[in-house]
Amino acid sequence: MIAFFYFLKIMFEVWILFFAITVMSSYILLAVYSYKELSYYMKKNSFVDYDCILRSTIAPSVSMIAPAYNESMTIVENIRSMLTLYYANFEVVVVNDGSKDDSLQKLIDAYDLQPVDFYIDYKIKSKPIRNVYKSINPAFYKLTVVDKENGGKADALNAGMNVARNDLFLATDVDCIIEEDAILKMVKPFIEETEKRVIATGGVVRIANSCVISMGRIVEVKFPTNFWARFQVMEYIRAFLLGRMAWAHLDGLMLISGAFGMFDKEIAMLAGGYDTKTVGEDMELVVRMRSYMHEHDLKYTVAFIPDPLCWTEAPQTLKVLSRQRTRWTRGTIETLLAHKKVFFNPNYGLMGMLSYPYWFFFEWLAPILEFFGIAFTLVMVLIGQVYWMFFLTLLAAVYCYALFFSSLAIFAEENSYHQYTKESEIRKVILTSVLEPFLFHPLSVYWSVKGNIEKMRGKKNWGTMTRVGFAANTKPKK
Amino acid sequence: MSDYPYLIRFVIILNILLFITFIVLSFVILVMRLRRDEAKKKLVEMDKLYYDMLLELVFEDDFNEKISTPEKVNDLRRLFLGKYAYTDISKNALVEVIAKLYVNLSGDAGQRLKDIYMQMELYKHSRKKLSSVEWDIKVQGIKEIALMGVIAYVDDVGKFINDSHSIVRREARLAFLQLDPKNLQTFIDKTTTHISYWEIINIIDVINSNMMEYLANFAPRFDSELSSLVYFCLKITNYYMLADYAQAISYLYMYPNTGVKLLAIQTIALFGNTKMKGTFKERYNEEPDSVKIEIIRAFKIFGDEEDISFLSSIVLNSSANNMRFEALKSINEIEKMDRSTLFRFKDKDPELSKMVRHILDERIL
Repeated sequence: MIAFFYFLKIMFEVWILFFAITVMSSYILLAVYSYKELSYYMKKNSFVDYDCILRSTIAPSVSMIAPAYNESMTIVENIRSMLTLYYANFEVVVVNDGSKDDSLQKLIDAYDLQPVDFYIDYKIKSKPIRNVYKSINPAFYKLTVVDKENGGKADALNAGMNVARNDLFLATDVDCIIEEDAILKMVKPFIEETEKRVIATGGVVRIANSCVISMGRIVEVKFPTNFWARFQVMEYIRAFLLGRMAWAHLDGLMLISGAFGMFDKEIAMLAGGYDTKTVGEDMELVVRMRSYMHEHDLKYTVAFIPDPLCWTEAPQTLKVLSRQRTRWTRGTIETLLAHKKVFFNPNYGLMGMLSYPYWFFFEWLAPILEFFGIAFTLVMVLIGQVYWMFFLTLLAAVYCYALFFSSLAIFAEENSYHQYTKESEIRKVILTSVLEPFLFHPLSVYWSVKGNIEKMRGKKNWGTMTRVGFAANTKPKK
Repeated sequence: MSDYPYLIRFVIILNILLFITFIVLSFVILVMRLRRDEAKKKLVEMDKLYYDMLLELVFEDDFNEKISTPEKVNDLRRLFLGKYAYTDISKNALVEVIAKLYVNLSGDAGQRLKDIYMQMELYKHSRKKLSSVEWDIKVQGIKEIALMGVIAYVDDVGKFINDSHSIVRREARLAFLQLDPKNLQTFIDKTTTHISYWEIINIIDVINSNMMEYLANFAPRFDSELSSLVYFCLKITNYYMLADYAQAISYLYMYPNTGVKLLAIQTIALFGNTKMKGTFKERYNEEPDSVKIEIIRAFKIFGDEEDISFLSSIVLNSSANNMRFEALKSINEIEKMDRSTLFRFKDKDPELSKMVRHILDERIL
């Protein structure tokens, strides 16, 4: 019996070690590849004249779809900044998803809206649309407001797609701050490719906490003063600059942030639009669109651009952060389960053979294994079965690796966009990376496990995302 | 440490290495920031210096005097190249400043800047870049030559229009057209690789900004197997309304690439080639949805009342609401005066009623 216990213990230890080495090596490989691609993109982009698309009358048409739920505080100002983005041929479709506050009334008053006889072809199912509003003021001709029954973000996006009239659509959140040239940059991959159809483009989302905002635009980037937001900055830099960039160039990107992504409307609709049953609708749509292309034997690609084009407010309290992270975990699980046919299926190309297994093992299972690893260690400590020297050396190895990886991310950021202009801020970023493995990472693991438990218990809702808002950082209008 | 097992020793060494890398990278990040700021400052200073010197020079009354003899040009060269532009970095900065100023200055001042660029033989510096193995340097050279209009190097630039590197290829194509408006024909004849829609937008921009005469003979390339080249020729024909090609374009309706086919239908309608109406009607049911929609839109452009019966049959018989809606929109455009057909459909069924109400609501642009 004791021999069997020891055998199991050794097997578990070997498995954990093997798993950890694989995860760490894959991160390093992705980081190196990302860095190479990032440098190439920076060089390439320095020769691009975006004004050319701006001047062009034949540039693709874009619909910006922004679902809104109880956004009364900021909705008018945010929509105004969306309407002033640099692009000629675009419309803004705001979907009021049954808000309980006065969001809709504020829009009606601010933009002289009137209900119109808008014909809606419900190609994708969505909760009933009560009314579609257009402005009687020609200055706001680009704006369409859809008022519908509450059905969640995915449902609101589907309603928006049914109303949108253009070939490409940009899915975003009403509370996001979008750079003026965002559409110009996001459109480029769609018209650059000659032999494959670009079905979606992802953009980088950055954290706007503590940044100075004026007229709905970021005018000064600052490192957040909030402790939890700081860790999220590190996380976002790592994920976007060292992760997605590599996946995009391997042609295996499976996730485009729900806060900011552009899609080929025809393919998104043919694939069935957003899935309203999942809380990870952003990832699910990309996987479904990719699956659709594979199943119909169509050549395609999913692009990604590393420019910081969209700014969002990160949760500032543990309570809200926990809700967000557990939801992300549930979304990942739901997407992976919904598309299990893709798992190691060569018919789905790189997505089936690499991206999906990566997500399965390293995004879903890794935190669970880590959790069990910690629990196992505690048990071993209690029964006095720990070889302390080895344990502490390995613990130090994991910590040093985390430091090394974070410094790679900061290096990539500094060599590309260097958003934080003050030297003191860079020192703070480095300091954050030193503290993160102790203070933030264990919480991430906990939230991930909690997300798994919530999923097993059948939890389906989004949870309330309380935001502080940018009012405190907003420069008054002159 | 020699008492520890090998694995522990290995992990300890790994830890030390990772930690040192972290420290070194953090240090590099901080130093890099300082150095970048310094370099930026230097570049701004150099730019300002060249700006001032160049502006002073081009607006001097005796400018022509200063470049009138080879000796005087040598003095000028010594002033810029000898004193300041002794390295490639400063030479690049000088060329960049000239290029920036050249874009913003017109007339005599612009010409004088070009004279400085030519007399100081900076074009050789630009040309040298074309033979670089690094693609970005090559692109820089191509851009400089195009911007400063060094027509003598048009063939050197032309060599890259089918280059394997997409950005070199793109910039070479644009530069080739910028350098000599007559090159559109050569460009079309020489192109053997795909042209992206991005390039088409850029080329049209070059044509527009150079008031280029776009009278290239596209017809021989309409049967090219390179669909993007056919699309390009068709797009230019459509954009500039080159109705001479109306006949040749009608065959493109049968082109296997859907993008070309859709644009061909649009262009046929734009040129009012009514002979194709019969073919469109005949083939309508066999076409995929995207082509069907384009055909319906084509009838809107033809604007012929005799096609209302065809469009009405779509409204009444099609199972796809988007086709019915599109057909109603076309009918509305054709009979804008009395809209009798539209009103007839209004009470036919609730779905049609909604569509008609949408079309009649003028607040919806």
